[in-house]
Amino acid sequence: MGEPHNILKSERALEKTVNLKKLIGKRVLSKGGKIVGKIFEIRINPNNLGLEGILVKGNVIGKIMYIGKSYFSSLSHEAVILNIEVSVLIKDKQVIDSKGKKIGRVKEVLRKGTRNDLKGLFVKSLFSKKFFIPASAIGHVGKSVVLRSNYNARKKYFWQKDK
Amino acid sequence: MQEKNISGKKINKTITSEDILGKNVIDAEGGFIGVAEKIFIEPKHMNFIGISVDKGIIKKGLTIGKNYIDKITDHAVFLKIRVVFDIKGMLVFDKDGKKVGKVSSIDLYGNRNKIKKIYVKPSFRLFSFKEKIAISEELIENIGDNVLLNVKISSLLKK
Repeated sequence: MGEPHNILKSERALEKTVNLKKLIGKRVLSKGGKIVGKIFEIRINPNNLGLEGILVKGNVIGKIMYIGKSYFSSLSHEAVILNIEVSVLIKDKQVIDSKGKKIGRVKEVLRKGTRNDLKGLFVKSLFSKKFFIPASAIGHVGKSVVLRSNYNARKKYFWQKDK
Repeated sequence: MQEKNISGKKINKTITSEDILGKNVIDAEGGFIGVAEKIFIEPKHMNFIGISVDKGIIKKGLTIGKNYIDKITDHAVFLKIRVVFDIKGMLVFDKDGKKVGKVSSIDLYGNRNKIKKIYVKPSFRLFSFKEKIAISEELIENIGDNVLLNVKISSLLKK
């Protein structure tokens, strides 16, 4: 294929753009390099024709995620790198209190609407019922979820009745 | 019965070796490092120097200086740091998200928890002629679940 004729007004030159077709199947990485999944659809805004987001098939949870462009850090022919750690991927992480005691595992992630911001986590251990931990009680999310020192998780065991 | 005390100090606020040994050691990311198995005490001034961590049968043990310890609680020893040795085996991606390879070894500044260089075993297709790629610390953008570089793979090839 020869050099195309450029018919542009104020748009970027061809070599400065990305071929969206080539992005399909490419990986999506989180801020910390976690492989979030693979792109299988790219969505554009029909009004301004700008890129709106990508549909990603999750590597870990196998669930499909629609990630908006405001969470993109960079986009290349190789991958999309996000500027966040995807909060839905906290599911199944271990939760420990500030003293290092294992509280349980994350069963459900509650977010602020559709945003990536956490509202809280539903946690469950082997003998406890599912209980809620608000985002304000979470000190750090990394390999596990570490709670703040001022928070006492109120576990309710399955033999305890609901009030 | 209360124990007699000739230490010259109030010992009710101190902790003993029993409060450390056998406890889980957790890094700054909340990751489980291993179990505290030894306490090191400098013989001349009897100062506490650090702990040694048993990382299980397969992995080598690790010694951690007291400056890297954040707190010792009822259930665990918390570190202030993420242990850099843990990046061994992580995937390395370039600025564009292209896979460079896997971290095979690490060079540190002395005995500190500071990376000087990482050595990456390249992905077969990319650098089949190279056995290892040395990447200095300033080329590392971020370390999380994997390693992200701030340079393109092409600039690593030139070196």
